[in-house]
Amino acid sequence: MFVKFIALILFTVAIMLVNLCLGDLTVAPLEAIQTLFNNGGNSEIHDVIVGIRLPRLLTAFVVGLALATSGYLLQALSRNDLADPYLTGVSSGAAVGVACAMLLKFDFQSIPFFAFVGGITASFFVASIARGGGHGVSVAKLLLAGIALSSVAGALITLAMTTFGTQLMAQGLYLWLLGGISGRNWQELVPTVCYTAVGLIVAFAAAKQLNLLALGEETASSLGLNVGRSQLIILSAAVLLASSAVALSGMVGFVGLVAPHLSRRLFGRGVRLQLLCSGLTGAILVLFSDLLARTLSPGQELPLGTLMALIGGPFFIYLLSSSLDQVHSH
Amino acid sequence: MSYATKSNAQAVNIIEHINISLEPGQVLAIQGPNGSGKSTMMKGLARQLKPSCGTISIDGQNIWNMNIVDFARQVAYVPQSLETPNEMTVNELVRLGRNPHQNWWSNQLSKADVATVSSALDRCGLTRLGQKKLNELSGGEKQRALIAMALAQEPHFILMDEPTANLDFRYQLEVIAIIKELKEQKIGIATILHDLNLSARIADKIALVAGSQTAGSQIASSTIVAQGTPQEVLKEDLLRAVFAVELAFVHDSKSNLDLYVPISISIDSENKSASQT
Repeated sequence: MFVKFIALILFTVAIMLVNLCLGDLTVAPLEAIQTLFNNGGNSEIHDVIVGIRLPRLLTAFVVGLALATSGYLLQALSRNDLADPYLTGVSSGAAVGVACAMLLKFDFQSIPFFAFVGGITASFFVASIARGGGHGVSVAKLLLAGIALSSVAGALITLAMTTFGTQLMAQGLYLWLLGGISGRNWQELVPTVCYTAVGLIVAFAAAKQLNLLALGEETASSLGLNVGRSQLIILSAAVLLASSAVALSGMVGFVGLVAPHLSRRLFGRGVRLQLLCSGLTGAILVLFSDLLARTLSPGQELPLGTLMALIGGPFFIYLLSSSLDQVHSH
Repeated sequence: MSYATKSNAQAVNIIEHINISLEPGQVLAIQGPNGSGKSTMMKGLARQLKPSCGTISIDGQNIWNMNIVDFARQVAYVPQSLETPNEMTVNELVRLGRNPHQNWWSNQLSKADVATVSSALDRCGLTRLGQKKLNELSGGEKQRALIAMALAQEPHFILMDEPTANLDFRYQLEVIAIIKELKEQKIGIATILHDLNLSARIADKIALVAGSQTAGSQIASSTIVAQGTPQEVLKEDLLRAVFAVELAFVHDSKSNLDLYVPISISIDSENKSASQT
């Protein structure tokens, strides 16, 4: 178990290094590391490594970590493996928030906040539908409400963009929506990471509550857990994580679905261990996808969201078909 | 106390005019036909449904004014079944029973916690099965694991929702043996049971819950139609009226037990239900 965990960390570091080295300008690993730690040397390489690739790499890392942890929390809350911020419409809600912030010309530091407001509104809407008229959460309703919300959100964004935005703004928003992390700089990264950090801290602090909620609401409450309050706090953390990822990279789907699932397969149990391993697995997924996005077709870049959908979509279909019995029985 | 349904139409009481008490070391069996509101009543005692009027109290304190953690230290609830995460082991489940005695953030068990958990496992005969996953357990073992989790709470009262449902004879008797042992340890137990014979054996008090059709109301609301010792409640005419069955009463001299055997659906009730439709 411990060995696996160390291997996971080493793998994460390795893929970060590969991301740092590969691209239009290929840099030797040793040179890349040297460039990171001293300011001297070839200034062109320095600009590429520290100015462009490092913030981008960290963005990918944070986005993966946040989306995977958010997915893990949503799955624990709904007690189903098919929940994910993208599929439940939380990301779409956050995207509406970001679009509003951009169109109203708020500065970038307030973007994560708007994303959170959009995301939490969406999550309340979806949760109230999924819980309506029954005991616990209906997975079918959860996913269907997510789809409905996502299409409405997409329409709202397009409408707002075409009505109020300039063409340049519309173009930028469109590229961001596709899930792009190119051109992320330190000024955008740092404030958003603060939101992510708060979400992660809450998630780790709520490990015990997550454990109790796994027994179902009735049993959890009979063991002395304030179920409503715990669910609200955990949901807020999940939304905070998802919306910080959306603020950084737009709509990147399926990370929150694939990463917790792989992590459950590969690593042991225990809430805190799973939070950590899911997060790192998600980071690796996004780093890998970004590497492909940058290197598959030289000279131009594929949107990150598109690549993640190519990887995650089939995986979702596989999960859906293998857990269809479960969906029916609920 | 009463429970009302929340519907758009006029509120209808599911169960009303209940007055019942439970002492430490006492076993209360709740009986009644399906749909008579036994589970609603149990959920009320377990602080999961708030009564629309009336109060439920422990030592004079209204349970809805109690902190949820304090309540969980007093009262444990054993659900009929548990949709557990399958990979969870018996040990892990029973350890969660210590929750009301721990800090909100801590997963660590103190030495005293560990001792309580292993004694709970021991009392339910699960010491050897501690490492087993919950989905590998038989129905009887799973029920005992749930009881062990409740014991780990060190409660003064345990509420059980049909602990013998879906169990075969042997497992039913095992559960009954555990209840008897808990009773000796001065734990008060309220349990829903369907089997009159099991009730007669372990209950100090039986509450018979049944519907009472009142004029002008579409849905019958239930109430406790009789409560008292098994001898007082398990009477032929009362049971026939409540369950609408003909029963045979047999005394087994070997075990010195009075046995109740349902024979046939009572003719009166068939006429009654026919005239209703």
